[in-house]
Amino acid sequence: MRKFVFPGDKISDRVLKIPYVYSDGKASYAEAIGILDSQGRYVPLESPYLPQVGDQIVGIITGVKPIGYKVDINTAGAGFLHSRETRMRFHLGDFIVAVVKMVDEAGNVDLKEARRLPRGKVIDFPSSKIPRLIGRHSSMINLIKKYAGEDIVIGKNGYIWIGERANIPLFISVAKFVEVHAPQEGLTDKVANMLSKMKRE
Amino acid sequence: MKLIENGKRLDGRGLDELRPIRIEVGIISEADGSAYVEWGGNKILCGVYGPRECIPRHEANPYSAIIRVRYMMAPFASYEEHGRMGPTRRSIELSKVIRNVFENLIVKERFPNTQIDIYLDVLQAEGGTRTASITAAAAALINAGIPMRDVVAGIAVGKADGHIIVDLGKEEDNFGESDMPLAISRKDKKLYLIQMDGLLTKEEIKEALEKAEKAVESIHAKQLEALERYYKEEKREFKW
Amino acid sequence: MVGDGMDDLKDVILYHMRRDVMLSTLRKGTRYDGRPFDEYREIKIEYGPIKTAEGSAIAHIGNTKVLAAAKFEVVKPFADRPDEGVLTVNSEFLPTASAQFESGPPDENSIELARVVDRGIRSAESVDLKSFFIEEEKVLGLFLDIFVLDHAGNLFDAAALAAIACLKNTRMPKIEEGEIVRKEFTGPLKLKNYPVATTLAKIADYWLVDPSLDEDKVADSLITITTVEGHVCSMQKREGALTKEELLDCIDIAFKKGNKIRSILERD
Repeated sequence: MRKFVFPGDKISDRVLKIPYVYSDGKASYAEAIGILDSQGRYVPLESPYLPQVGDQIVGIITGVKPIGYKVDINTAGAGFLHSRETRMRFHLGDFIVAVVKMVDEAGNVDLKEARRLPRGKVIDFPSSKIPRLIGRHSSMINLIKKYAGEDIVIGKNGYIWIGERANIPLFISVAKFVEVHAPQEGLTDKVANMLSKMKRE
Repeated sequence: MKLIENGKRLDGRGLDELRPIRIEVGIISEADGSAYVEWGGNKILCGVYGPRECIPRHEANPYSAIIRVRYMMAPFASYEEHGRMGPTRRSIELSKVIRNVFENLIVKERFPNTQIDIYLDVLQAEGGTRTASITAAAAALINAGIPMRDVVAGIAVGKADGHIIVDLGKEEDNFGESDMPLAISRKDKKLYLIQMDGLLTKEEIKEALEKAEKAVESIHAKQLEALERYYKEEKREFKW
Repeated sequence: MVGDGMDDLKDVILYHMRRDVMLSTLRKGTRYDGRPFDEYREIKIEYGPIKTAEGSAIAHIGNTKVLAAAKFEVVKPFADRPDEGVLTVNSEFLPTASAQFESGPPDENSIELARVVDRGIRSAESVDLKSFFIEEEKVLGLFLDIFVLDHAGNLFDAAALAAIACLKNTRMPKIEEGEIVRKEFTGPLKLKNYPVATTLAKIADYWLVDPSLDEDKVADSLITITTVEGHVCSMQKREGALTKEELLDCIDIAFKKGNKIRSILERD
């Protein structure tokens, strides 16, 4: 049975080391509103993006310096892409897709494997709900791409790039639908319904 | 002024009875988290922003987020004259004590070098705005996904006409013998805000605390209900 | 929330790309939120949400939400108009309402907003300030406070609508021995007409009614035109430049949209 948990609610009798959970040495407690699914797993419903090594992120170049680039990756501090990590030259305002290389104690994030994304729009989607937008084995995003176009890159950080050739208004309305209905089951079917209805209209 | 007659208060409430409370979360589209609380005649809007880059930079803490609270009373929030905009001695103090509630609840070390802003606007005031504000801020912070160790809510207890009463209204606040605003957490039942004015004996304080602890449970329940409603989306109709 | 979620620096850096990408959507005949070019988002008015004020209203235009509240006080009249009351419009961009707003004294944007709303009401003579006279050296001052509660674009139209709806909701206070008796009223404030503001944004060749936040940010031209039945009562060009023909077209649209919104005000 799925049930809501709130900050301070016990989610396990063991000490767990996972994001948005704290422990008193004996048991573990939620730090954010979330859902305890049928297997007893805690899934936060709302959480600012906490970068993890290996995450694919979408970012925006906000600073160009000789040693590298400042990249907005939807965290309070900027991400950093060192010049030696890339042979490409970037410019202010470029959208990129990259991978988190390292995160230190002070919250600094280093990036690697950066690649420029062409002209498009970046929207800000709750990062905790990104897994719902991708779906199991990418089922959701593949479905959306069938209708909105292939030029969509989803960053784990909540930034989503939509290329100019894609159907931006359609993607935005589907993203809003997923955001609103994220906690519900059978979401892919609902989105499929919505999309085929939109196509008919 | 007679505040209590035959066990009934001016507005007809019993001694332990709360005013009606309504909570909504997620009502500001541009905020990271938000809440609106109507508590008796109080109307409070709360917007939470962050964690975001700490400005000015030199105030940043490399080990944790810093919390900022700005509590403000609108100039039209009372039946009396048109108030003045901007901070007052009262609002500065209230901002500070409210901030301290959340500094002790938020898991600040998750977000070093950042700030979290909590803005509280009292649009209509009728006694108990600080406790209603804390209640609103807690719901808005959860809505923003700011990690916290517990859920907190505010409740004022006090004394009027010789009786310990719960959730003081404006007249009871102004003309009663004593007022004790508190913030109590749900899991640990700890007091995160304690203020008091007027005269109370230790016995009376004990009684008041017990009554507060009981009353706050229904406020916690209202906070959780509002959050569940929002995330279940029973009410929000999706528009094309 | 799904949004643009960007701050000032990025506004500057991303301006051109944002504008170009928006244009390619507009060329397909639609806006990011799917609206036709000449359509407002959904408009709703709530009357009297603030009981402590003598009048109040919240105007919703889509997600944009603006509260206006009216309070009376006894004040001294201006020397050049000894028989008239005083109307003061203030606006507050609450930091609660947007990551773009900061606490502190009002900035130029919020001052401009208050003054545009003020001019619309004053030019239309919607309120008979002579009726605010009490006795020599004593008149009623009406403080109209505008609070932005949620900024999702086009604050000007929402603020003007909240202000006039607030005045419609305002009750005249009872006066005794030259002082206001609080919580007692003599009747509604008489309003002569309903000034309504309509903002149009131009992006390349496209004129858009009721710009969203996205559109606000990249608009080449922005103009707010306030109308009453049959008359324009205030205009404020806020960005760019317009030709005469464009201005006249905008006025036509402002009348059309203004009349529609007036019918909402008259209906409720």
